[in-house]
Amino acid sequence: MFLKLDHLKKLYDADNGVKELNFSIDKGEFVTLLGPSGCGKTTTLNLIGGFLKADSGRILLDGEDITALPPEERPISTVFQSYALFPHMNVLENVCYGLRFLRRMSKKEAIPVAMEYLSIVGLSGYEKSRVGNLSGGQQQRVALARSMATGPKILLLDEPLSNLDAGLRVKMRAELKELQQKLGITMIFVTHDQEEALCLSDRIVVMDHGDVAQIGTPREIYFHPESRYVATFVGKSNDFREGGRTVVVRPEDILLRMAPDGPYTIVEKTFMGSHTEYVVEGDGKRLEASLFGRQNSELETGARVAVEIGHSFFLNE
Amino acid sequence: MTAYEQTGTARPVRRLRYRAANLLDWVMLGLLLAGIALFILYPIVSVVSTSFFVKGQFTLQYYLDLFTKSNLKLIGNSLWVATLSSSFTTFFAFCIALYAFCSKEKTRRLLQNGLLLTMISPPFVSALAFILLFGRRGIITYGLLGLSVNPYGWHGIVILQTIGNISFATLLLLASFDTVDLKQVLASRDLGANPWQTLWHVVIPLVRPGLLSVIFTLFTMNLADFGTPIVIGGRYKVLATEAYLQVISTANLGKASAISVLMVPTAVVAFYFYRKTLSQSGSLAEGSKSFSGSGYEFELPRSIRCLLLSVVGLFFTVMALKYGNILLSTVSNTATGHIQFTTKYFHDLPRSQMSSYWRSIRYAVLSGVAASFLGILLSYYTHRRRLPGMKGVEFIASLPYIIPGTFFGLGYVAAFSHEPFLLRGTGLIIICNYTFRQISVANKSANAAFSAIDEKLEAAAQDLGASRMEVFFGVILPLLKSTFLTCFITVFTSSMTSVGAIAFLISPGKNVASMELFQSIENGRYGVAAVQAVMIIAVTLGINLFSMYLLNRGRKNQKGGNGRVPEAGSSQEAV
Amino acid sequence: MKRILASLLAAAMLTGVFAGCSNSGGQSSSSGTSSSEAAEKPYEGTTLNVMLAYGGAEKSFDAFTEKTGIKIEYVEISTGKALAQMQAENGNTTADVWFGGGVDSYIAATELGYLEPYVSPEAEAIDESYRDKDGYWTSLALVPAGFLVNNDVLAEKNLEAPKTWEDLADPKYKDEIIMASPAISGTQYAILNGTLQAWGEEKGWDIWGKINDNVDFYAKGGGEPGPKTCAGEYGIAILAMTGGTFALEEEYPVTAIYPEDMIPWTPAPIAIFKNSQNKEAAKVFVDYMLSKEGQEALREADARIMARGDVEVPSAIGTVDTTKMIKQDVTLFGSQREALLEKWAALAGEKDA
Repeated sequence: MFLKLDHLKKLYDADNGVKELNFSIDKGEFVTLLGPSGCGKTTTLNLIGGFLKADSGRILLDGEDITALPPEERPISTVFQSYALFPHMNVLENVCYGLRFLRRMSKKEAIPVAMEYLSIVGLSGYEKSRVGNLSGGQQQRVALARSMATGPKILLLDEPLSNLDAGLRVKMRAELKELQQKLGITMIFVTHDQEEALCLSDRIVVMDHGDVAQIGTPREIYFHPESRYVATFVGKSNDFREGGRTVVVRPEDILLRMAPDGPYTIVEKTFMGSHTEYVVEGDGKRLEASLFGRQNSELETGARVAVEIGHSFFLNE
Repeated sequence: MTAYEQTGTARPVRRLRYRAANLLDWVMLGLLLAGIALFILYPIVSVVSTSFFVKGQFTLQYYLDLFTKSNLKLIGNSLWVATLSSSFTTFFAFCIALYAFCSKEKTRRLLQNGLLLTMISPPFVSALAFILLFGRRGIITYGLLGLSVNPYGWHGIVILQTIGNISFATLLLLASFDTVDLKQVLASRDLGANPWQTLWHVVIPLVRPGLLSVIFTLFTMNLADFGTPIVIGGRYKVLATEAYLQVISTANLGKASAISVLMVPTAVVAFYFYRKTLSQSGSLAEGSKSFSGSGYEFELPRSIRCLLLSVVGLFFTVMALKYGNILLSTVSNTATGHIQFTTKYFHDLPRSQMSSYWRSIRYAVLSGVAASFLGILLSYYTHRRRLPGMKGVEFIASLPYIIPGTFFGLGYVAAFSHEPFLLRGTGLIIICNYTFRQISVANKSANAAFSAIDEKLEAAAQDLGASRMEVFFGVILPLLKSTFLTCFITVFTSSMTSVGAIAFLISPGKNVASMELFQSIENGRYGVAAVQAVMIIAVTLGINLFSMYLLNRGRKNQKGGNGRVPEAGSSQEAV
Repeated sequence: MKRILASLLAAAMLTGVFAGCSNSGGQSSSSGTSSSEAAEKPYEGTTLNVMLAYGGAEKSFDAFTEKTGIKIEYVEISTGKALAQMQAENGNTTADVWFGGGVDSYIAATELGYLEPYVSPEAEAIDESYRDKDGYWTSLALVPAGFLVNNDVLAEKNLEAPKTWEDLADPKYKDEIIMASPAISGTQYAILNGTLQAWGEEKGWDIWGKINDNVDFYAKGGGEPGPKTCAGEYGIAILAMTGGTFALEEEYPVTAIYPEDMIPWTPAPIAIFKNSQNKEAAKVFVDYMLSKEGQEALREADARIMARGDVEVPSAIGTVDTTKMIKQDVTLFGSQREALLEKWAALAGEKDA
């Protein structure tokens, strides 16, 4: 137990803020706070970073109560959504900034450390560039290097990939994961993008209206969502009542088979390349199915099919 | 690659450093608040109390006396003149700003610099030029046209106030035009609106908050202006002159104070609207780009373009006449309608001219630095740190700017002529008066600049271990460098040319250049006054040009920067 | 870089504060004299602060500084304004000496207790009616009043130059006369009070009522009518007749005229402020300015009729018939001031403050 949030509360009004957070994070873990906008994930991050003062509750880091400490005294660093690079300094000066203030290095001492972190994020050669002249991805890396160089016990990332275009986002995602594993830094990552959360995290904290909806590994969250909220927010799902319980099935767990007397009819078909999405109706149900492979893309709308359900689960109600 | 090295929570030594910085932070805040209390609130309270107490006895007599028939007429006069002048100025300023908006970047910058330079106007120079050019024996009206026109009266006040404020108003409006998003204009054209319709339905509604703010600001300034009416009003009296004359003729501080108090509500209302429009325009400014500088051009119908161009031409012709006349007056006697050259005015300069001149420059530099710094500090504590009650402090800090200058000056006389703050006869009282009268100028530009700087920058710096002081001096001040410089120029210029507020504060051996000029004009030494005016113009122009050079250089360096640093020079709402 | 900027700022502010402080009291108290010089120039290095309402007088200060080593700093301020300022400051003025201007303000200041009585040994040579009996103020010079006419303007309108005060009441001069407000200008006040003493209240107010009809508006200072008339804006100015007034004749198409019926005048006094920290040096200054030597220097600086009987009337102020000067009771200038100005305000209405 490295970081522990203990009955942490911060309410702006009855509906905004976080109600009562209780969870802990282990050393070296990559934890994602996932949820739609307004769910309290950024508030949680700002509470941990020290930018907000909690109404009540405690934050313990490495056994030490840091609830009352201002941001500059916490061994925690944040990478902001807008990066917040200092426009009046060049890349190297930006990275040296924290080294000089937080680690009390002289300029001379700071430069080699900063250069090293710049090389870690792949920005060697850009030391003297003005930050305004860099691309979004490069600015992102400077922000990362700047935060990591200070040696924080926890690195907070506030939707750091949201300002990048799709291709770059995937690339940075991979780099981020690699960096985290290489350096073993504990990271808390805030996003509303479930794909990002699933592929990066050791554990995911799904949040809903200031509360924790579910905490678990990506697999647990995806395959065993504890509520409809989690099930629908993370991945697509079909749900229907059966035997007095709600059954949830992921579209990719459904198989369609040509059957002229099958109970279902294909009503919509969308070809996506790697897979094909079908909507079938019948038996009083409407189901979405994702089928992979070339052969599975050949079914036509109007065709009658039989449905095989591979994996399904019940919601705890 | 070295192993990833972790830092822990702050150790005692580092904590001590943060505590020290926090302490310093409180000290800075304390000094700021103390300064505002002592040099703004206390004088105003002192002078207002003179209108309620006669020999220690509370009375409302001064206020009851105000509502006589003749005083109501004064109020009517003031409102009439201020309304006309403000409307005309706004109209002309709008024309010039629109012309600049539709022009290419180069023309625009040229216009902007021209406007900045024509803001340098020592007191009474316009009035002097106006009388010499257009008066009963004016070079133009009498010498060229053979007319004998009486320049004295309300129309003289309106003309001079109108012309005098155009540069300032245009610069304010330009800042507001800057917030118009080019894409909206393009969208309007794309949806089938012609340029005229686009102007009417898109551009004007977008700059409307700016227009309102300008007109209210002008109204307040014109209401409080005593210099113009006193020189050109003739028998036409307004509240501001009445307050001044009450003091210099009968030493009736109480009555003058009561009259000034009468002007405060209008000023406060104007200020309220200004704030309201400002908050609207603030949200518009987000993420928008100035029109010019991009490849597109917004072309207006020919007839409108011609109208705008002629307004621009007329304005700069009038400015050329004004400055030309002053230059000519230093070496010639034009008072009789024809020109006789002479060098005697240089010999006739008062003995104390040079020492007053250097003193002025020194004081203006000091107050320029101090006012800019304090204004930024005030803005920081109010809008960044959001300390409770600071909005109220900000309002108090804006009072000296919205109340009549003489009134503020009288406040200093009432407050600092006796213990415990006996400052009369010192240079400090003049510096403080310059500084605290202008704090709100810097405060307002800083507010605008802050709204354009990502708040996360400060969070990031703090997150990276910088103490509060290091954030302020290492991140905020450097980012506001151009704002600082712009404020400095504004405060320097107005300190060099200020008369109203310090008319009662100078003392033997502590005279300043603008007052030497005023005294020359009072004593009818117009030629000498012209020389003194040119001296003031020269140094102010020098400082302005140098600052513009620095700003432009800074802009070049920032070019390609991520654009979060606000454009300076346009001195957004440099009220 | 940022630190440098920050420390520069701090330094600049501090310098400002200290500069202000050290300037505050420093100059007047410094006295670094060696003993040998002290005998001759006991106040060497002292600086006297002077409130000046005596155009051109500063040219005579150098001679004084050379003789005594006392430096003079001055600020030009009309006496009405100076009085108002002193009232606002409760008499806590930082000036040492009040120099020239209208005597009415001096009388008012005496009553308010702002002045220090001092009877200079040189005052014996000055007529008793030109000085305060208790020595609160003593006249430096007498300033006669008269007209300045613009010959071009009058010729253009086929008007003759006025010869007497009563001439000014003639409706033909409508809108051609400019004069200062007696509430602000000491000279103008002296003209009003003096002529009223000569004519008597009833006749006097009747004439002034008619003159008022001819005046477009009242100037806010005694310095304004002259230049406005020179510039041809008005045909006739009512103003103080000093060397400076006559000097205008060389530059402009104007003529300075002494009225033929009577010449109003005001003493231009000198006084020491009660609040002065340099009273002894101030007395040296007053003695000098009232001495024959000082009076001649002052006459040289700006030609006026000097208060001392043994200093000749300068030729630069034309030929003034001193017998025409109004025989007036100067003390009434002070005692009647309030009532008279009130009556004036009612008469002038909106033309004046």
